[in-house]
Amino acid sequence: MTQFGAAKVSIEAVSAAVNSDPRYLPVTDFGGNLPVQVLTPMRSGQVPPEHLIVQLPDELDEPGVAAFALAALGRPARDEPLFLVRSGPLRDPLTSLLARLDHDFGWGGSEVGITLLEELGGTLVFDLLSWALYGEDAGTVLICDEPLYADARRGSPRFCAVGLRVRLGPGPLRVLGCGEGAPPGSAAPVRSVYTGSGPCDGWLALHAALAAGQIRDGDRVLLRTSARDRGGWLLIEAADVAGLELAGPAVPGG
Amino acid sequence: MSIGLSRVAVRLPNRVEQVDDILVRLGRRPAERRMFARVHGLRDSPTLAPGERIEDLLVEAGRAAAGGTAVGLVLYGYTLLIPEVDNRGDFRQRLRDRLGLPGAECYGISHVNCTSVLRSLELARKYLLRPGAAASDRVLVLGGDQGSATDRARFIEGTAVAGDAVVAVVAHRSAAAPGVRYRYLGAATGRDTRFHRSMRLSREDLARYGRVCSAEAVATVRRAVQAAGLDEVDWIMPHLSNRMFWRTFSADSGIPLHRICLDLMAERGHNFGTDALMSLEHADRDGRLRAGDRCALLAIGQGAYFQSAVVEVVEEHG
Repeated sequence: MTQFGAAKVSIEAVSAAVNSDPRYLPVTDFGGNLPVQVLTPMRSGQVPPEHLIVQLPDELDEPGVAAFALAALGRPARDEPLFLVRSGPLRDPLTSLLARLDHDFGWGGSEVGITLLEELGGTLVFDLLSWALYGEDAGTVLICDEPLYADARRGSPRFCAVGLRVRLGPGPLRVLGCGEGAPPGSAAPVRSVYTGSGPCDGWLALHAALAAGQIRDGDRVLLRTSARDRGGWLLIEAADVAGLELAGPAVPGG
Repeated sequence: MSIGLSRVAVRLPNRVEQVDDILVRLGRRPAERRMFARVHGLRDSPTLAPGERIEDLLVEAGRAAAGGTAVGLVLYGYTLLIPEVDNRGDFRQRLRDRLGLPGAECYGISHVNCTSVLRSLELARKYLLRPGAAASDRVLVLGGDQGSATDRARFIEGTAVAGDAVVAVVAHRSAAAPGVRYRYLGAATGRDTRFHRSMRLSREDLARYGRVCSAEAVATVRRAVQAAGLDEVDWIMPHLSNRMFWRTFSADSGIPLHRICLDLMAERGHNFGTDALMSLEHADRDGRLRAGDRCALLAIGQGAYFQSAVVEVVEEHG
């Protein structure tokens, strides 16, 4: 758990992209051509085969919601690092999504993928940013969730991505702390808590609240991710809502 | 200020597959198989034996490198995204627990393919040199993949067959700290993202990539050497894709082939992001390196990415 005494990381812009109707098929439709990525959940029995739905392979060669979130955010004025935070495997693991984004957007800064955080990526990545941004003016973070498979009994998942332009030091949204598990008690009241099971869920709710004018300067909001037996949290304070750039949500194909 | 690196811990599986057997399984033509053997110099590929797991090798290597010392950050650089499914759930916490580092920050460093391990060293440098860092701060860098997860994932068209191996190294804030064997002098990154289709490149693009790859690799090493404040280095610790690439690199760079540590090409070949650190460990264990020697490590990733780091061998303290 990290509580930043003085806000180290601030957020200057937030974008969002959602594909509410990604293409999933019952596992039986794949016959003998089941993507190798699905073999483990098949074998483990995490989801009974009759209820397992699998993401259609990336036949359209589209970069997906991450590209929409990045486009909505726009290119930075200066070269800066790009952090791609994904909750799981690529739709097509034989291609390089990050290189594709770099190529399509003419990205001038460095880029790297941050993984293994899974559902907690939208919160815990701020621990990494608190030191990885040193020596940089700013950075761009893409949090992307495109579940490879799902349990049909819970409905089809959506694909979503959130783009954040961040910097060290003061800014419109100040990150006060983040961590695993339950958030610590805070002396100052929290205005809203946005909770979800995916890495983007809390961010999408915050994006909507900001767009609706529900967040005011001085408000503290808590993003919480709760998945299986794990949890992550991120405490944010609005310092200059009017100065925040808000883009999207972009809806691919919509 | 230069950070320091420990000796490299390498862990290999108990089985080796012949590269030719893998190519036969993949249905490759005899002419291509002969090229892999005679021109590329590839013979064996480390492969997990039944019952072995890459996670176990990561833990063994990590514990060997850390030697029981406290570590605040674990960076695991890897290439293949397919096994992420296997690593879902509690992998991150399990890895920390098994390393004896339950409270450490832990991240996967990925999506830059085989440059991910050397990129992790650069991130470790940022962490250790951040304002407020303690002199005792340490970072454990792990690297390695299970190439044998699928034959399709371990075969790089016309270039290499990749295996299963892991490395681990501890980065210290000071190059004078006990246990430091290398001073990390500088690094550089290169890229040519026209080749983002990676394993799905067309034959034409694959040929184009082959033509520009050496030039970008040479340029990246030169920038790393400059970043280290040097004019030249004593050794190149290579990406072990194939011997033919290094003949071209030698011709393009003017660095003699005998200064490029290619010893492991036949017996280990390419093992994703671990190659350069594994070559460094081999050369050091073989007694070839002396204090003061400067080595440029190079990794090349699909996409295409290039990463070079320059280290200097130092006498160990403590």
